[in-house]
Amino acid sequence: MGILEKIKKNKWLAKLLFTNPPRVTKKIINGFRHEKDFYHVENTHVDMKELLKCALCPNMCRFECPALRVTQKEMYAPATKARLMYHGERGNLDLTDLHTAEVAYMCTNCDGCREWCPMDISTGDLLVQVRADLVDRDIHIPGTKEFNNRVIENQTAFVPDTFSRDSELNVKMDNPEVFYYTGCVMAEKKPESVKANMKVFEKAGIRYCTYTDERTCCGGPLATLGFNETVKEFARKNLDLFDKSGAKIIVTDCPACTNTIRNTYKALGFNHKFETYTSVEFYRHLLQEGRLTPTKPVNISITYHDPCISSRGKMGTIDIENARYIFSRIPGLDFREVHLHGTVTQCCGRGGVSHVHHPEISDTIGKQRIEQLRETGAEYIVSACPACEEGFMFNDGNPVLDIGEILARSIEE
Amino acid sequence: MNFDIVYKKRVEIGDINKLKTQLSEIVGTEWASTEEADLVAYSKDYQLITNRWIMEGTLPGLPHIIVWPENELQISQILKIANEQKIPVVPYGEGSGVVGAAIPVYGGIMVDMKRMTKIIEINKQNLTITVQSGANGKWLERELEKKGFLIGHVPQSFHTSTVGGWIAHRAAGQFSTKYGKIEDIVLSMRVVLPTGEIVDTKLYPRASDGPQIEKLFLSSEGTLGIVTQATIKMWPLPKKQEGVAYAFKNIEDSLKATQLVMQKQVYPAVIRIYDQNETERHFYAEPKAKNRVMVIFVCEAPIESLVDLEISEIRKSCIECNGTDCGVGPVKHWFETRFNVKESSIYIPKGQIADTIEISVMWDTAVECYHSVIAELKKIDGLILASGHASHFYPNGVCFYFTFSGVVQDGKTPEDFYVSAWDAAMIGTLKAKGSISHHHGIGISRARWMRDEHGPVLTLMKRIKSTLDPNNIMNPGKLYDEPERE
Ligand SMILES: Cc1cc2nc3c(=O)[nH]c(=O)nc-3n(C[C@H](O)[C@H](O)[C@H](O)COP(=O)(O)OP(=O)(O)OC[C@H]3O[C@@H](n4cnc5c(N)ncnc54)[C@H](O)[C@@H]3O)c2cc1C
Ligand code: SF4
Repeated sequence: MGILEKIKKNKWLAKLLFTNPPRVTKKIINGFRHEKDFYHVENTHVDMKELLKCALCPNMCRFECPALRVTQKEMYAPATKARLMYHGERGNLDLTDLHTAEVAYMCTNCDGCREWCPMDISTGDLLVQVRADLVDRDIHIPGTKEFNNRVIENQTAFVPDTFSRDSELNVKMDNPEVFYYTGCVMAEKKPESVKANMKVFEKAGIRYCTYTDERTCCGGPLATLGFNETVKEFARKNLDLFDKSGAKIIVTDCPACTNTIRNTYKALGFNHKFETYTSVEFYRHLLQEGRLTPTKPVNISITYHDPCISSRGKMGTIDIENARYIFSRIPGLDFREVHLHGTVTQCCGRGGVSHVHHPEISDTIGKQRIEQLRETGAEYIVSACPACEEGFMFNDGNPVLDIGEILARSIEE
Repeated sequence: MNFDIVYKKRVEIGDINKLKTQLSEIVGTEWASTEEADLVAYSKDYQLITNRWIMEGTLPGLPHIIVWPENELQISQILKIANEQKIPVVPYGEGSGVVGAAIPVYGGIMVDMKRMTKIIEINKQNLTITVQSGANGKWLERELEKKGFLIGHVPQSFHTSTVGGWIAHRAAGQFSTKYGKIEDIVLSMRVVLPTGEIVDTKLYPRASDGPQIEKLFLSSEGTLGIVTQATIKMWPLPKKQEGVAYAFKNIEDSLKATQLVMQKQVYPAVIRIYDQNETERHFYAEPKAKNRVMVIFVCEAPIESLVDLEISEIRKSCIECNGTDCGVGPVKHWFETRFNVKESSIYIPKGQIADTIEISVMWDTAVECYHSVIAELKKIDGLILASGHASHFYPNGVCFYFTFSGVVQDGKTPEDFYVSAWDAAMIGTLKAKGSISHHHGIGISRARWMRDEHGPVLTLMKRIKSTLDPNNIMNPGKLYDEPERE
């Protein structure tokens, strides 16, 4: 909004504020000056002003909150979570009571709230900040600290074997154009998708490396749990490795990793200059630039689950259209849109690493999404996030394809 | 926990652990809680003064226990226990009520309806949907939309309110001038009475078979029982939707134009009149609306020519009353911003005390009523804003929706200011023969005005209440009487 527009918009306000008796105007100004008293807290990671705003909202986004939908309890409605945590931060509620602290984790960070928020607030982001405060105070709900320790020990979210030097996923070459950063989940749970991506890169003539034996977890899952110190350690290691590789472009097969490298690292003070892409963004470029031409018909019916993180919120909405563009280029594909898609996509249940601390809730959310996707009657669910794909496979038992696999299938050998 | 409580006079519950065990046996241990955070979560609804209290570290009320029943049988058993032990019960939907009706002013058992969201039946021939009362509005809309139907009831709180809450407050949606208010939409319901009986009212398009019992529960605010299920109307999706906007010299002309529209039996889905203050606030980008009163109309129907006809009739009425055509810009703006609720989050932390108050009035005193409420509000020391719009229209009258905001002057408390603004609006309304609430309800905010509103009819209401709820367990301290604070 331009300055003139802003003046026009707020004219009524200025008029209201300055057409009162002086003692009333004084009170109004006092109100503005003392606003901070209502949200000030020492030593916190939390943007308390925003937390209070959210706490005072009538829960205008509550219908979109998957944690609330599954738990069916008022404590876990977005603004109510904000209110309870506001009371916790201000010392009115005791955050060492784990039942209270747990409220901060009843969120899958799907950003559905922000999509509907007139103030562009994400309750999930605020709760992540509360989690960081809890970590600082050594308050942990079951599962989170153990998870952090395990990732530090293994340097990946899973067992380290997948990333061994001899793994077929480990690729090194001189002067690579692209560092293909393989997410922990994709490499461990869906190595076939990693291979498909490698095939696509090769077909497009991309010089790439993976360094699976040297990369560490991006730290994204730990960032959502508030373990910022661990994330910083991983950021340092990964950025050094990217430097060492010589690549200037980082492509990930996991949009959450892209977000961590693109946004979280920077927020934690690591100002790198790498260009970062989700696989979906990158493939669209390759297709548009003519470096890749799908020719082989893929005669299956699919529906697509838009991953929250690359369809709204932190990374914008670009991949919504990118994914559809990719499907439109694949011959033979019968693409069936699910009712709730794009910016109103629904959570897969794996966001906020919920399955680590609340597996039942995470799985129920996942099953509800699978039901919606199955309503399309498509043979396959396709997505572009390994966490979503893994969650669906775990809860459905059927294979779930990555967008890279679909593309790989349409490329002549 | 470390809070002050506004409504401190909680009932004594001898052995809370015993009560918890009894209730857990009914609903399951996972679904009964006395945990601190849970009690605090249910300590308020959206009565706006409670937002000030949040910031002061004060809870409006504090329940003793929360239960989340799954079906009416469980509710029946809960109410029987509450009745035996004379424990207050407060039904809870999504807490968007704005008059304090869901605040547990005497503590007791909070019965949250959120687990009861099942769609029982969608009947395409009858154009009805039978749904449990905990269902959220937006969720319901999505389910119907998928099947090609429209939910005509869209209150601004649609995203954060339940079917049960709509019934309990006799709510009105933004498209109500065409599709009706909730009382026109609900055809039948299932209610668990305070004494535990489960009753179903008969489903019919209309009948002449005795007093209409289901109407009794509309606007009963949880004081006569718990609504667990309802059959409500649905509509085919409209094929055409069109809007127009006209600016008028003053509120009088705008009311005249809308009255004309309504009385020639044109039923736009939406009509909204914004007084000069609100026009300046919302439609600053429309040059033709400067210092004027904006009116927007939206028509929709499954038949396109019907919309065309309605729009052309609306235009004629507006021109007759000297309206200036402002095109569709203002209508678009309304659609884009109709769920943008952020004022409370922005201005309450700045120390302002604000609220919205809706009332209704017959056409013959409508203009007088608008001016009377604004004049009464302006008398309050510290008031900085008093404005109004009209949001619901009838052939016989109109609903005004006022907004006030102000700052607390020395020697006064935020509650003093809040109550005096409410009183002013009630006085202004009653002076012009208006009715004290159009759709938000009574709750705590308006309870002390019920005698002025109803006279002896209030006594009749109380008699009905004591017959159905002899131990006064259902939501005491609301609707008929103000709650005691100490
Ligand atoms: C931003 C905003 C906009 C609003 N816009 C509108 C609007 O356009 N139109 C309108 O009419 N209202 C509006 N309201 C008011 C409010 O949303 C309605 O009153 C709504 O019907 C309340 O529903 P709820 O489920 O949130 O009920 P709650 O607030 O939880 O409860 C309200 C009352 O209903 C009782 N109750 C709840 N469920 C049941 C049940 N199953 N059986 C018996 N009693 C029950 C409670 O005990 C309480 O007395 C608005 C509120 C807000 C905050
Ligand atoms: S995220 Fe926005 S819409 Fe949702 S509860 Fe918070 S303030 Fe309200």
